[in-house]
Amino acid sequence: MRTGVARGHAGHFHEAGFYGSDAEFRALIVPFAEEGIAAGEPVIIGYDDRKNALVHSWLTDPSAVTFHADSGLYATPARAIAAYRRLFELHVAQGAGQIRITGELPHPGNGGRFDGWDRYEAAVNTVWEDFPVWGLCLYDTATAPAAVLDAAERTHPRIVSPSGARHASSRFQQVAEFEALPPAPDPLEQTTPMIELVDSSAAEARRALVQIGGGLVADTILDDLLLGVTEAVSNALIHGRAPAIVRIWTAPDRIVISVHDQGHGPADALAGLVPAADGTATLGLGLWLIHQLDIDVALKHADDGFTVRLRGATTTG
Amino acid sequence: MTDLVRAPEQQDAFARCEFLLERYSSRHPLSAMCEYRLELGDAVAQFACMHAAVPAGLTPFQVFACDDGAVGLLGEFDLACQIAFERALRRIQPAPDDSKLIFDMSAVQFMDHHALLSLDSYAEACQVPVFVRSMPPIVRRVARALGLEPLSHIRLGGL
Repeated sequence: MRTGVARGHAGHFHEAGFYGSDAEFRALIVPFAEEGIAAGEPVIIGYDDRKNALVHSWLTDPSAVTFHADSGLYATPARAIAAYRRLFELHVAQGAGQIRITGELPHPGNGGRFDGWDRYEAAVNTVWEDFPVWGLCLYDTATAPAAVLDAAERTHPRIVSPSGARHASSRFQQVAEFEALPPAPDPLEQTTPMIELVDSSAAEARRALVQIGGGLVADTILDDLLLGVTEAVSNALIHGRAPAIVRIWTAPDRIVISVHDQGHGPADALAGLVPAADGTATLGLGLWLIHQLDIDVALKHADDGFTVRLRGATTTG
Repeated sequence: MTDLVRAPEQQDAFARCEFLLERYSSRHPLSAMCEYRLELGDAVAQFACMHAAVPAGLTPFQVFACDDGAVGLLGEFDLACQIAFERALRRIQPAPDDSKLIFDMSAVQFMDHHALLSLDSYAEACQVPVFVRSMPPIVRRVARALGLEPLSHIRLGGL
């Protein structure tokens, strides 16, 4: 049975809280965690080392909660969704009536990049509906950029304030209507690419990438880029509108690949974040697989078409 | 061979025969050269991919018999040849005395998730356990990214 304000709620109870000081952070997180501990619910806390230490010192029994300092959990949005799903399955199998999770996503204010995480926040309103999860996402208003705070308001149906007052977010957008933040452009994209292929096969794109990127990036990154460009080109040729154009740029610190076609791209707002939104076995698997790799992936919808951008760090950068 | 494979209904049976011959010749002192007229179009690629040695450019991948009885895979397997690969798989059947079937991936240059899942489906339907050996790092990467669950029917190793 679920406890607290999520009592009686089915699926993911998704809240955002905003704080401007450690005192406000404490006012938001301590009741959430203590209530869960008292109810014997799994409580999972994932902040940076300093904040984890603060929370540890504030709780009556910190050994009863799980602290995640591992930033690997938030390596990519799709991987975080899958990793949390496995965690939830484990807790539910062990009889948990509710699982409480609270954490902070990467954004420029904490040294990370927010690209794609706005879609994650929108997606988790639906992709965890099978689980009795209470997710409390706390945002530091002193460090998070305005665009991040704006996305938080649009992706959380409920807002909780440090006073404990709760209200529905008037700006909340359902996942299907969510307006994602545009990925930050890479400056290289404004320059002449090292190679441009028009309506090439995936095999031709792979050969060009090996020619340009071989030795420039680690073998594991090159493999991920090869897999990524293969899936992107295959999708463009099958689902997109010709011409499908592959462009590759290099800089001392990265390889950038864009695969562009003149179609609208996937209409599914969850594309890439979950394996297959429509329940089919392989449809949408390629885009999801790209998001499992150790490369940066951005999906860009624009008036002139749809672009998948892949970026891999070089060994010398 | 051309006249034996003009009709589609002939092609499936003959391709199975080709692979049996391929397996036999890999373990016996037999060499054979199969000639097909290019006028057969797609049918040429269908049969080319079932041989250990073929002229360049006819097929992006090959399925052939290794000396130790394993099924060798060679080349690049992606969506562009997915239908051809699935068709080739359907034509591979374990011999009556095979207790297992081993796919050797040491000559695979690239394999995407479509091909890997097709191989897993083949393993599910096969009458004997299917093993995969010498999986290249990039194919292991696909398997790892997919998670273990979709590949529950392939076993690693098999030496």
